[in-house]
Amino acid sequence: MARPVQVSAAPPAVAGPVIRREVVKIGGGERLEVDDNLSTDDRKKLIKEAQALIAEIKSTYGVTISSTASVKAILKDYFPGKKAPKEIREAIQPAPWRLDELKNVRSALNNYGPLLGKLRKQAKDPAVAGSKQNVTTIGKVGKALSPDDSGPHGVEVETSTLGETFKSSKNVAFFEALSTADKNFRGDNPAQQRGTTSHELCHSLVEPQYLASFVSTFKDYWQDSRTRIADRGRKSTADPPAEAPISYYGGTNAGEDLAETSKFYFEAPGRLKGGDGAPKGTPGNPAPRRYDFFHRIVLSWTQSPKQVVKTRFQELASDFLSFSSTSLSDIVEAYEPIRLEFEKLSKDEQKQFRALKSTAADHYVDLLMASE
Amino acid sequence: VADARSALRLVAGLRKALGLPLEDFARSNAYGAGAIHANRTYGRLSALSALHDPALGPATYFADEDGIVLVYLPELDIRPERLLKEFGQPAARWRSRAGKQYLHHVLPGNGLAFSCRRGGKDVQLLEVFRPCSLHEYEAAFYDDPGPFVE
Repeated sequence: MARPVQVSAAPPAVAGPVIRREVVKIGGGERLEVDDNLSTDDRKKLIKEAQALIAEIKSTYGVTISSTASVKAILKDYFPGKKAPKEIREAIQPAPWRLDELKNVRSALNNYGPLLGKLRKQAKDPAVAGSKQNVTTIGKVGKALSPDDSGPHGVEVETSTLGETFKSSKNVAFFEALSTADKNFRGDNPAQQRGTTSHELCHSLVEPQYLASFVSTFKDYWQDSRTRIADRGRKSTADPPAEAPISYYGGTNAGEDLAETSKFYFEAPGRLKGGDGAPKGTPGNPAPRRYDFFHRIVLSWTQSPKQVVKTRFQELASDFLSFSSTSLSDIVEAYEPIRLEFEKLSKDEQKQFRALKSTAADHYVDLLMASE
Repeated sequence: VADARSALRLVAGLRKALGLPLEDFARSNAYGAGAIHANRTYGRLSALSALHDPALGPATYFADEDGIVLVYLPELDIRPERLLKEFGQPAARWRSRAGKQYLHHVLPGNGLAFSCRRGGKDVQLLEVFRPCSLHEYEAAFYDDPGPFVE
């Protein structure tokens, strides 16, 4: 690998005491920010670690870290079939990584591990195993583009986009704004980096296969993938209200809803199931059905369809056994999925469930039987 | 639809539904009673009735008490420039809930709006409504998705 060379000084990533950083080349066209006050040995160690991470991401997940690929993907999508104007090309440039960012990208890729690299070919879902990987490059870019009719070239160069998926280039861009953002995880930028990267990977790796069934499952909130069915400000106006997305941004369209579901599923599953304090029907409400939908997808990567049903049933039954509420209506509403799963089981499996040694479970089994 | 002409014919057909009572329209087009849904919203309008049966076509017809006010198609296989050639230039191009790279083209005087990407070969979120001002379109039908940041 080439000897690190200082190419330019980078500004500090966060406000506060000024940490001087320099940017070094680490091979493959990528650059790394390193603290100026590190010893030579520590700096070498850091660079080696970044290089090893990039190699690991390639060998394990089949994804090349390539910021120039992200720049190309952006310009291709926003200026299809023609060369982007010079001032736009000058504005959209690769950005240097920080080591923690590469680690967070690896964590997000690991969330989708069974869909990536060599493991993809072994996926239980034949639709996954038999298809090509939809993300092959991830890069870091300073500024982003957005369509803007008032701009001279029909686009705006902006710094508010955190991440973006470019399906036609099989690329995900990690923008400089994500280096300091904490929009969903206050005070926890690493969680935001992992969450946003997981969100973008969901657009490419999960959405193409599952968006239609997501819309169909949440047809009480979505009329189609771009249209809510009955809402005011993304708050369900149905009676009773439908489960709303876990975040306001998830109400943008069903693709964003699914991607936000993935973000919270991986990064804050408790918040996805239990919500952020918003009442049912309002973004930020408890979203156990969305949790369940995504959980089944994740299980399906490594389990056969029958195993998925069994696993989910066992999980719900286990939740049920620790349920402390005495309200019958709460139990029935919360454990409706058990009834649905129960109906899918064979007679032998139903017998096993009935044999569970729990008063609460027996009581619920009685309810199930009564409802049959 | 097979070609641009068919697509334009389809749009013209959707226009004919505007103003008709929803029940009458449903009956004369073989929609079942279950295809009408109450208390729907679209854009900034509420208390609408919606008629939709995927077996009879992708369109959703939204009506208030005075009849059908908007027909919505999730997508249409026609080049955006062909629509613009037919109906003229948009009065505004706004953010679209179809996605970050889309712009919603609004031609309120022609009672038409749709979303497309730069260089895109089809249109999304096609809306047909009675001709109105840009302000009236925005106040009634526009659903601003806000900035796309992820």
